[in-house]
Amino acid sequence: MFRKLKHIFKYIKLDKEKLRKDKINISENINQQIPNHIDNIEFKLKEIFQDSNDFIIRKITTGNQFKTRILIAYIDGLIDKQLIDDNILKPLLLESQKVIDDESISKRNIIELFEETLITASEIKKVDDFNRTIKAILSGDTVIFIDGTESSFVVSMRGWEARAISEPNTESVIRGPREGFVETLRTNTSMIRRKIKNPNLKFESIELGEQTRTEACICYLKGIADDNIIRDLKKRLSCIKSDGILESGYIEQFIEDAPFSPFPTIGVSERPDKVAGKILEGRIAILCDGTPFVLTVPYLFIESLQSNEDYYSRTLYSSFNRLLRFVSLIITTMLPALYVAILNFHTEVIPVKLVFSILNSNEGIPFEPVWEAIFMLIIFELIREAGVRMPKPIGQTVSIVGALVIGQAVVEAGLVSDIMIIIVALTAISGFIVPSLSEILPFIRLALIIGANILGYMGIVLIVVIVILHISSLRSFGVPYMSPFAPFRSKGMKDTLIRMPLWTMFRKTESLSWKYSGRYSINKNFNEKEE
Amino acid sequence: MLNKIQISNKQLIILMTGFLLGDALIINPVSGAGRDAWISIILTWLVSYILIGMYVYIAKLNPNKTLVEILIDIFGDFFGRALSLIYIWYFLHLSSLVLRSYSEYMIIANYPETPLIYMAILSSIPLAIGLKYGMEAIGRTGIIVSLIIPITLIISTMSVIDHIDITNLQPILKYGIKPVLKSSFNLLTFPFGEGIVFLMVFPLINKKENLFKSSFISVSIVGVIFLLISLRNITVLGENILERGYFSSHLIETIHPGAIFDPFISVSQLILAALQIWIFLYALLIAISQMFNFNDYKPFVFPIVIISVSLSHWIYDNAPDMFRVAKEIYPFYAIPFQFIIPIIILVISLIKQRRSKGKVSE
Repeated sequence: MFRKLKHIFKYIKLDKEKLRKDKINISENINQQIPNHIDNIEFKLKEIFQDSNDFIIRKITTGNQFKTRILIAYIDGLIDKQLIDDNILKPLLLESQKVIDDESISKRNIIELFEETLITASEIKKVDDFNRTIKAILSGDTVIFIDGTESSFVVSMRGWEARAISEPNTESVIRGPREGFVETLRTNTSMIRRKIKNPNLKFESIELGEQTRTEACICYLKGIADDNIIRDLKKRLSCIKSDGILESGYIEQFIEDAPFSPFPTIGVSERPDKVAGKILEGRIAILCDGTPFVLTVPYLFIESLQSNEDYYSRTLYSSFNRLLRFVSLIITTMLPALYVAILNFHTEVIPVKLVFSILNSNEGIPFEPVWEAIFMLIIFELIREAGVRMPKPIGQTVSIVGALVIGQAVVEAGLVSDIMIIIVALTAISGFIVPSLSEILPFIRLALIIGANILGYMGIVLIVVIVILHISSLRSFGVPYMSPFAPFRSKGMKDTLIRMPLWTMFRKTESLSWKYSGRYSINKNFNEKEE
Repeated sequence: MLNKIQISNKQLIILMTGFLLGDALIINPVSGAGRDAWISIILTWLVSYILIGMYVYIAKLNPNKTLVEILIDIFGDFFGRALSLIYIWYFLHLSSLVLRSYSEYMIIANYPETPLIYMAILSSIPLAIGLKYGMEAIGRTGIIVSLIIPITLIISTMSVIDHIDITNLQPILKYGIKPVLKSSFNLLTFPFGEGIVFLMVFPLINKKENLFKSSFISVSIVGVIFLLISLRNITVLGENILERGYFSSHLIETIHPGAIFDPFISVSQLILAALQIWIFLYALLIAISQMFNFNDYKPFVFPIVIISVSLSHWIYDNAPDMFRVAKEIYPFYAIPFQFIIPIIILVISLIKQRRSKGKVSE
């Protein structure tokens, strides 16, 4: 079946490629010279940015005797106007009169003069390619063209309205830094750089999306991250053929190992401390402009049970939390299925007194336990999804309707037994303890309930074996998904179901060796994977 | 295809232990010895080191070769392929025997109203999926799921510990040594001799120098578990009850109703049986693909699983028939597969090795 789907997928891809070829492609990477005359430049720019009113051209003339015409181009809203006034316009209009008159300047070295003595901006680049200047204008730089020369200056004066750094909503902690990533790529890289002050921390940028030309960035610690994984990641990123990359989720879906598996093979985080920790473990982060969500690869199953706070609080408590998460994972997947299995097949397992109360509560209910369970779980998913999409002011209505009306009325109406309500509530609460697995939980719950209805606990075991088979066959960028458990590695077990004290995990004394110091040796089992 | 997949020695230990325990826990081949079963287990345990050692030695003499390749190497193209065909039948037969005994156990112990074939079909779904995912995933899954087996053993033994009566073991050797030796032979052919199938799996192991060590570790674990369970069953149940019931582990629960570990036993039984059938079917699939020179065994997975399921339905009439065949016919049926052909292989490969050494020294 999947093979057929794959074929269909391939055909869709081919069709898209054909369509794309028909479109007019503006992203030509051919080197194009900058016209000599400033009027030509203006004409060309206006032709390219036709009908876009946020594109602004400013023409000025400098010098007293040697009058030089200058053209400044930028996009309004992407630049800081105050900076342009202070660092470009003022020096060119006021100071240039002195400088240019003092010495006799030929047109050849006017460029050096501009670069070295006039423009007071800190980041300035000389660019000879016309296409590159247009790219620079689009990404928020200011470009200065000078009459009579074939080169231009790209001055970085970016400044746009951006969200301030705030605490992320998705991963809140009690103890730990309160900052989260924002939508600006440069701010995000600076947050990681502030945490890891090391020249080996590399940021390699790539451009993704043929129309959106989104800037993305691979971030890793050289010497600690595995070169094979970096190579594999770059290969996969270069294979992305898409019109637009609007969020890192787009990248994730293009490069992940198992697109049809419910289990995610790429990690997502909004917290700089978490991403920095993962980079220190030898993982690679992918930052994407325009989103606070940063991807990390390779992603192992155990990471969904870990939290950054585990490392900040003390060993005993964080080990307890780890075990709690593991238990809650088991509860949230298995509890409804176990209830169904016990009621249908194995009532002898329950103590006698409890049997009576369960039978009492089940009396008069027209449905089988399996339908009750599926019905209540669907209601729970509805309430959850409604709570996310609702505007905040009316969010409370959902909880009132969900808790009071459905919870109470359903039991009183005799549709669902009250024990089932307790079980679904426990399932829901335990599900919130492992938020990073929330994508897979509904599927596994449903499969387990159906298995339990067919064959009792044996059905549950059959489904569990299938799920374990599936996740042990997965790989994330060449690393086995269940890594410290299977293939079993006793070194990696220090940071799984319990967290050992930090001094047993990090070898801080070995500061000389940059090589991987053995915390999940994720490097070893890499096999070259073909895209 | 074979070279890409690799299995670590830990996974081999788990796979081999699960494989050898397998359905021998269900059928209990030593029941003929009555209360002296533990003596025959000890005897077999000692002999099985030699037997498993012989299989590993064959693998060492023919490095990176599966049984089919070894057979073709030694007996020539035609006879080698003919012998591999016989082995293919043997593996298929064994896989359906295990499937039948497992589903029979489940029907009798837990789901008396469920049809047998239904049980076999449902249990074969994870088997087919596992084979599709390949041996690597099976090895890893084995490591995770086999955690339940020691838990089950400990719980089930602890819960009946106050019913243990040592006098049930006496008198020792009441019926003489003959039944003990006979059930010893049964035990040797039933789980231990089936280890011949690992000649198909050994080429996947990544550190071949530890083959002896890891297979002997698993033989030791299996011996300890057999001995422990057998002693527990004899001392708790006594010889009389033990001889009358089918599944001794299940009997403990029915006789002492305080101990509710039936689900655990069934689950560990499923996992052990699944490991055993996985290995048989994997060996079978690899043998088929190597015999007919295919690159990939995956297209054969579903057909073979379906054949195995339907065969499991046909081979016996009912459970007593199954026990009779397992104890009276199977040991003699297994002799050529487990002893005669491997010994011939061993002798010929030893001669070949000596010849090639002699050539080198000349």
